[in-house]
Amino acid sequence: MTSTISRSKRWLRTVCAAAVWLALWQILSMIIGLELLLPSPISTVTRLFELACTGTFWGAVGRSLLNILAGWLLGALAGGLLALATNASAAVRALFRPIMSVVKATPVASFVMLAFVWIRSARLPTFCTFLMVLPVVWTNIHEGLGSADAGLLEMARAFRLRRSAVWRTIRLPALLPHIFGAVRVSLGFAWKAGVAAEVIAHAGRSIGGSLYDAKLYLNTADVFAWTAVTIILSVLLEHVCAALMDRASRRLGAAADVKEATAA
Amino acid sequence: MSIAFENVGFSFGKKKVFDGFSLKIQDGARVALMGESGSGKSTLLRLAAGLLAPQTGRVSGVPERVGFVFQESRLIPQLTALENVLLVLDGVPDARETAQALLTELGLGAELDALPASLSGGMARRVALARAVAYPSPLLLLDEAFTGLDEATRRAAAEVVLHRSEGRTILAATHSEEEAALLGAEIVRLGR
Repeated sequence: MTSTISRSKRWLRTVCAAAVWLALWQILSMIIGLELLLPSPISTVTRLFELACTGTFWGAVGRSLLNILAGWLLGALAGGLLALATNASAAVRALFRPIMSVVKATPVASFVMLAFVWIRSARLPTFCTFLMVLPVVWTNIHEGLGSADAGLLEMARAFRLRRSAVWRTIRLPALLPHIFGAVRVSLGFAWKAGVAAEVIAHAGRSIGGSLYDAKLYLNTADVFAWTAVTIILSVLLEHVCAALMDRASRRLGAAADVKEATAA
Repeated sequence: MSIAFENVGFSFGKKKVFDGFSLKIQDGARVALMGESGSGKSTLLRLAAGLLAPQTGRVSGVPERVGFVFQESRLIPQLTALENVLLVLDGVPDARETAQALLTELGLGAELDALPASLSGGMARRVALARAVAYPSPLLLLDEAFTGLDEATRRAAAEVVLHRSEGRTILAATHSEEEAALLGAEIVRLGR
């Protein structure tokens, strides 16, 4: 009961905060009085609904989702496998650590410019998303693999536990919070990097491509509407992902508090 | 086969723990290692378990399977008390019955399904004891195994350990002569 009340209070607070910012946006737009410079929230939402009634809109959303999720999946897979390799071998770790630092520090725009030479522009967003996701996932999973409780691992050695039992009971519960962290952070990165790459690469009928076109034709309401689409999709993806991870952690008995409980 | 430490040397970095240490433990013997903190009791137990290798000298007669109660309880947090014991009894016949009986004898009959986080320090200690005693092995290593138990519980737990470990070699690290006496163990003092 108490948690329901506090949840509805929190929800009410969020709605109030959003209403305040929307009102400020509306007032500012009215003061400027030029839709070209700052479209009002009402015209943005109207434009968003108009766009949503067209097939082109859904085609662009689908294309971007495909571009970005493909890059994210490839990056997550490669990052995970690479983390296993760097955790197993100091030589592999020494070889890849500087590369990962370089990739992490390189801006999306640089990747797009470089990749233009090698890859078709339609593949660029996927490639850039892959490069953005790879070091994030690698860092998290590499850390997670090293975070298993040393005392529990020694206990497992003493009792000669099977490798599968060690993974199930010690390594995986310690790794899961890092995997979840990697998924959450990398999805956000993937979305931003993917759309940015689409804009820079003028990737045709996609969210980024539509943003570019809207900017080119000084259609500011469209720029705002497409930006809103990006934000909505990002939040939706994050929520879906959080729900899936929550379910997985319950099923796998994830123990983010391995160390605390062991100490107890 | 007896366990023998022959001229064993071991250091942690620059800190020398043993230098030319020798000790022979006969099969079925009970030995209590005593000495101040840092004298190498836990290290000796790890050497006996094969978890550490001597840097000089040799340790012989270490059996393949060793029951170990570590200084910390080291229970898997997401497994219940019973599951923690069952974890090390993979492939052992009547594992569930053995684990349940042992936990009950140690006064944890009502805590079989409790998670480690909900157990007191003393209860967690007894689960760790049950796990090591239930593990089929000729050697039982106890590192401050009865710490955190009140006197009556300590006595009762020591009785269960002795009853369930007949014929086993017991090597215990302890600060307490009383604990050594409870186990009927011969005292070996380690100096720094």
